[in-house]
Amino acid sequence: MTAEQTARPPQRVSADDGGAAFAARLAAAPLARLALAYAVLVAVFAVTADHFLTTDNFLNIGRATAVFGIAALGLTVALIAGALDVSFGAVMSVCGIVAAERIAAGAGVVTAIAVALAVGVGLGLVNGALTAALRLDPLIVTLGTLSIFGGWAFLHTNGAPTPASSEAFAKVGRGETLGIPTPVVIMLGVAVVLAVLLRWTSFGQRCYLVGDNARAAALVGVRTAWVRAAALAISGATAALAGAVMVANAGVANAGEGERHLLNAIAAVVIGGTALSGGAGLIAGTVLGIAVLGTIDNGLNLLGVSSTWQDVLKGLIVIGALVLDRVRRRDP
Amino acid sequence: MTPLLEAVGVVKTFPGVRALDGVDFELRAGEVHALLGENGAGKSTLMRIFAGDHAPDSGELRFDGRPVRLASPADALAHGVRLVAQERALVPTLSVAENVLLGRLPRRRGRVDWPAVRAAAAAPLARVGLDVDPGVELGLLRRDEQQLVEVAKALSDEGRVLILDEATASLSTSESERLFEVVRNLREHGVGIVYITHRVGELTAVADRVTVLRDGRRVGTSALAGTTRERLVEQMVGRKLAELYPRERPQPGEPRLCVEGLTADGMCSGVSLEVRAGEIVALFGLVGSGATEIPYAIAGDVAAHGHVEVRGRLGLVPADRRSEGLFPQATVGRNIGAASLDRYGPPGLYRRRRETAAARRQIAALDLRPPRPWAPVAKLSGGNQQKAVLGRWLERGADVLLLSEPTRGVDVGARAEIYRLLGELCAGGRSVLLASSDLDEVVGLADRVHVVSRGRVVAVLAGEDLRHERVLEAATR
Repeated sequence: MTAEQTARPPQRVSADDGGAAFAARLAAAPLARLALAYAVLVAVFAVTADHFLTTDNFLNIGRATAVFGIAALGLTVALIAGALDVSFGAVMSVCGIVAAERIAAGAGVVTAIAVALAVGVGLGLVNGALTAALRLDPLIVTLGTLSIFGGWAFLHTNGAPTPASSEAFAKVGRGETLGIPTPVVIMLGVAVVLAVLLRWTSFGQRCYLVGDNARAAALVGVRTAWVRAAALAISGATAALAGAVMVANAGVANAGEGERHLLNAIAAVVIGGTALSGGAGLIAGTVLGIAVLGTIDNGLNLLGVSSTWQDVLKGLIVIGALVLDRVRRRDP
Repeated sequence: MTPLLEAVGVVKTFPGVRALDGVDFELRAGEVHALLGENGAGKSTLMRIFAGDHAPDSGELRFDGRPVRLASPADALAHGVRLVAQERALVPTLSVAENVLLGRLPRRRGRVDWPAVRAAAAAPLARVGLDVDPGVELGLLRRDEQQLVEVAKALSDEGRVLILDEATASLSTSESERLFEVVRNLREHGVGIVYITHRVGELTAVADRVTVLRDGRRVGTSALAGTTRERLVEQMVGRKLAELYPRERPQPGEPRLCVEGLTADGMCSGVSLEVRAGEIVALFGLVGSGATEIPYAIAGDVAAHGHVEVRGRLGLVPADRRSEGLFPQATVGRNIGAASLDRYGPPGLYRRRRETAAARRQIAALDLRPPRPWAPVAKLSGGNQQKAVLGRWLERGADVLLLSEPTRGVDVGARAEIYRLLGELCAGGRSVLLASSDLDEVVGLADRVHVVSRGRVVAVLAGEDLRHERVLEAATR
């Protein structure tokens, strides 16, 4: 049936597309639909929950989401390139510990974060190298390294907390910049950098090619293993940054701490409309996904719903997002 | 004699498309009635109506002269209609016998009766002349054997009408020949067979009558003996066969591609050839001969040794559009621009506007439809998708185009356009190396044909020697 339809000569559509057609395309765009859903969500909480619609409350939402949000942004790049990186939770733990140790050794904030970032990039490249060398699905490789990196964090610390008691470092996690919580500023900064990277560089565009059809990408001369490895390195870098912010906020680094953010970050990416199979997705979508998750948690907290029920609801939303994604793919 | 199956004035519309517009069709017992038409002509819709998948908007279906309504595939099955669809509906990890009896395994006391399964599968397998152990895993069979299992499955009970939809699409010439034999045999046993195809060439081997559909209408029904291949193609596409292949050829220029002693493990060995500017050189071989893999070896996609010299830029149009050529989630523009991303901005940067503008130029040059760079490529017809993949290399400025099975799954109309395009490209001084298992195509299109068998070039034919029989004879020798 579809073959018959597509083989037909197309209906006349003016090459420059009229305003009505543009509006129709906008309404069909998944991002616009997600934004609409978010607006509805905000409206519902604004009516039902007291103190929801205040600046302070939205800053709270930002604070609560920044750590997993930063990781989700890099994960989006990896997933677009066809690599579902689930090791980032452990990378967060490891890099958080690395940063805390640097701080404890008397290093400055910039140095500590730079070292953590370097380690994060290195671990991402390990993921990329294993994927390329063993010809395995990145999901399988990163499931393995999730366990390996996470295990190293416990071995290295003997399960004991690593204090990171520096006032300057604490500001990264708890301070404010221009009246906005610093972690939120970092998250938005990362979002802008990665959005530009994906949209305006040939590397970013190659990520889409590799995720869409790696074989075809290889045949047009894209070095797919490198693109994937670089995308995984980006995911490692944001995980490192997220881990550092997490530790700065808590003042102490613990093994196993980063893994707790796994589900929220993956959920944000999925809700944001990035295809689990790769090849499609936008940073803006993930930002909206982060906002949706944070707003649900926050609104339900204000309504006094228990966190257990919040988890159940979030799970349902993730599944719903995937179903919607499939419906959209089948019938654009 | 009352026809076995009749359709009278069948109309079927889908949103925005009139797929069938008052089509008549008649199938007698013991005949092979070919249904010929391009993609989109309405063949599949008509077939689905016979199979109870779609209900016609108006018009009538008759079995043995009696009007019937087929409300579901189960109704059609009850009337003895058996469909072998284009896509395999088999489970490769199950045994041959289980596949033949899929969904109808004989049971005893609630459990599968395995000895009965083997016994019950034996008869239909024998009927299609397939001599394999019914207990063997299906996935281990050759493709043509699997296709026969599909037919056996369709005939494992009281089938009176067998519909074969593009049954030879993935088979080589010799494999197809085997299927034809089975079809002829079934015809002797009084089965009515609807044979759906867009390959005119194979009709002589099987069909008694042929009905041509175009744009949802019946163009004509004729006895195969009373028509010619040229006439059928003309009915299908609405133009003459001679126009299918470009005729004017430039004088060949400088050598552009020189291959000497190219050897790739398990694919080809000692392949040497030369393509000059403005030439179309073909590699012809039956499926499995290795011919269609040679372009990959030349492009360096598989490890090979030997000498390859290219003057200019090489572009590879792969055989399997879906898995190797297309970026299915992307737009037409991206599919055209995919090989040229570096050129749409300063080093490292990318400007979408430039890609879209470039895509517009290629779309116009290729007459690609719909002519919109942002249309999702997945929604295009096979021919237009192939144009997008071809356009990708033109956009990249390729001088030597390596094409592997460029018209597989492409309907005749789009095929003619691709041929025309290749002709134009050569006229413009580009070189084309075409690897194909489509005999018509290589004979009609190429200046020179290298016949490949078991990975080796066994004959090079050109000029007077370049005829169907000579090529086929060399390929099967």
